[in-house]
Amino acid sequence: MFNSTVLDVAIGLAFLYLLLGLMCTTVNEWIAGVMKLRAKNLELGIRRLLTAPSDGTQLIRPVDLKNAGKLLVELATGTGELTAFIRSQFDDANKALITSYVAGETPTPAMVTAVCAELNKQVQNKDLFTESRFPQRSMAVDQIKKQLQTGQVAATNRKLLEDAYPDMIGTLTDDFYGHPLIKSLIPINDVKGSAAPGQAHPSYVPARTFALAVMDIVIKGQQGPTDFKTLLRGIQAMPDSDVKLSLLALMQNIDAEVPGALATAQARIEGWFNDAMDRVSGAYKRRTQVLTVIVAVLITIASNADTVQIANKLFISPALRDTVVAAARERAAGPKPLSDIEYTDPTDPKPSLPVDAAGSRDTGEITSKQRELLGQFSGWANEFRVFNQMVNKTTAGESAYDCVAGRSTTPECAAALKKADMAGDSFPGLQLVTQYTVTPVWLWYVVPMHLVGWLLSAIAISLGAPFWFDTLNRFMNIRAAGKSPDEAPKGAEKKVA
Amino acid sequence: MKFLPAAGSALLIVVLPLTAAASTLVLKNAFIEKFKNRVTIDSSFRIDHVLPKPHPIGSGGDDGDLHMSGSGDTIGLPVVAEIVNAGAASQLALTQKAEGDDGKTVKLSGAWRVWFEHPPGNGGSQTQGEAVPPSDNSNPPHVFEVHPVTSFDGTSILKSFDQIPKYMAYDAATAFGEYEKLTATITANASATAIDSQKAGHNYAEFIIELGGKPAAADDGGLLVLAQVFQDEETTVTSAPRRMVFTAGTSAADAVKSGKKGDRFHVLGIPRVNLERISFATHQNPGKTFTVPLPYEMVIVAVLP
Repeated sequence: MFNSTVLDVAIGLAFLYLLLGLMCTTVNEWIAGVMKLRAKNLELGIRRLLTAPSDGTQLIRPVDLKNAGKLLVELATGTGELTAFIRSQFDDANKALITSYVAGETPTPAMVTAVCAELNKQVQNKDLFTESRFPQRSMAVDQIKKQLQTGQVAATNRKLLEDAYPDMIGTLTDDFYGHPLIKSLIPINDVKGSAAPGQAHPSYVPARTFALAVMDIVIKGQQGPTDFKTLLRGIQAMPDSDVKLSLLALMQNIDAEVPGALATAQARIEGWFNDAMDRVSGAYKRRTQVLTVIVAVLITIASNADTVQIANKLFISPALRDTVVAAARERAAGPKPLSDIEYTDPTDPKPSLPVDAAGSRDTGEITSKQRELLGQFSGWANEFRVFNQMVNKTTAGESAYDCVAGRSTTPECAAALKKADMAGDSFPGLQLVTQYTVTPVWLWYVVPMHLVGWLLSAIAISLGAPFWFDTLNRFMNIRAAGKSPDEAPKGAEKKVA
Repeated sequence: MKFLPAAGSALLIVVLPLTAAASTLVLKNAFIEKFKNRVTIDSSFRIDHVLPKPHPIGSGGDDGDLHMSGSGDTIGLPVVAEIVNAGAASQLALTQKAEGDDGKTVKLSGAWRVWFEHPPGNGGSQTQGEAVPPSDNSNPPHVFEVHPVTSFDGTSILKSFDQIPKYMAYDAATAFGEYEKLTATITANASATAIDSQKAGHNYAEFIIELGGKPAAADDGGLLVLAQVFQDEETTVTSAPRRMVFTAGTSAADAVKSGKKGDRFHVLGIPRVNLERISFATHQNPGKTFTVPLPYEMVIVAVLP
């Protein structure tokens, strides 16, 4: 049973799945890029790490006050239009608390709560924005008005307040993404030399960069050499929050007097980030798996890749089978996929930096020859031909398809067939909608015939191109055990002069 | 009826690969970076089960090793530790001691070894850092080994790195022919790297190496050197030089430490995944899934006459 024909059919299927899998990967990557899935996923993880759990609102919490003392002084005595407006809206009790603050002292929790309450009153105020109140803003006036009109009052006002009091209100996450080390990771538009349009955040942050950025934010960008004591003081000066508690916990048992204390602290922050990213990447993988299945189903139906029919074509046509196996052999024996991992310097067993070997990579592209081959096994030509036959009818109402099925030779049938032949296997276009009596019958003909094959194909494609590359190689190895005499002998041996 | 063979083929293509599905090992990037240029690892070791006696000596899996299953804090994976030449007089006392140590936690050192020889079945995975339940046998599904062991419970057994008397190792063509066919599908993110690979075997291989240069110091004091691999005086068995690793303090390391380009040695070695090349490849392809020939290197157990 397990003869070479069955093996060749299996090789052919694996090869075609590999090509379809590459298409699936390309579409997936495109969707992930357009929707910025990686960047959004990373941001979600970093926000969870650097911010207290979101309460689902835009309200300003005590943890969001970067310098509560300075804000209390500003709101009590500031002369700006915005500050004066906010002060005019104070409740009496809050006003008493806020104005009782003495500069330089640590604000009491009641004072901080009072400030948050007053600010949140403005966060929810739909009439807060005027151009004169917010001379410093990161959004254009049109954008602000549009957001307010579409009901995004809280989000817009919060952003306006952060812009108005930049060193007093904000989150560690915002500081993090605003840090030059992180901004430099945003993909660059090669043509314009600026950040890619709409790309606000990087999709990949190395643990070391994360730790360095966080440490720099904590010590408030202090220039020159720093040490562990400075870092610890910076953490202790942070507003009370989960982040502060986490960082303090990470710094426990580090002896400030021991050389390398700062490096130890950095390593612990990197570990903290790595652990959090493990959870984030798990969630991302689950989300992309769902996307992969959806894309696989769409590609299967769009290309009418029916496993049963493909296997049948391969089985009954030795010529087609040989062509596919030859193409599969060529692909399997081609350049190593994606990465050349060999050492480039035989005298250096531990090279310090990876060298980009992009030139030696298989880019995963499908060649025109492979596209032609795919076209021979998939596509809608036959089904469209049937549709065109169903649409063209005799004067008696009999369709050309009925004429074919009934082997009729009447002049009316011949005329209908001729008309259908002229349409051939062309895409029926709008007729699929306008011929509303024919389309359901056609679908009833098409879907049951392909359902099982589509299901098998969709499952196979969703396993991914790397899986089918491995499988193809495995099948090729089995086949090589009984290779044909004209094939070159495969052996690891080669003579060295 | 004509659809039957085609349907059979379709079923075969979907089912066969699934039955031979690759297993996955997920390692933390920090671990990879720390150990990629080290030969050995030091860890605590919770001994779950010790094989009652060393393997017999013959060929293939009858290699005279003593197996112990367990887990270690530095490793965070199911581990099997293997003492080479366990029946030899120099190790016999230690072997007998280990046999009574089930349930104890000891200090363990040895060559770390990632190899998909006994991976979890059905395409399963093992993730570094997950809890490791105690095993009731000495050979549970595992991808991580400490093999060969260099020190057990404070007792050095570096002398076990030696030729295994009467053992017939795999010849170079057979062993390396298999190693060179293996592939790995690798996915890395900011913190971890997943390595999918097929079941592998051919533990001990006997071969000739020709050094590509002077051996370099590994991060733990061992030696690293790239070398061409030969089956005999003139026939190579690998497509490119492979990295050879030598454990500090072994007679094999002493023999090659002053070696230079072109020097040849007849050696006995065991394969392991080359984490340095894994790190290299993932740095080239951040965030991507890619398939490469499985990068491997050889832990040299002995320089043979």
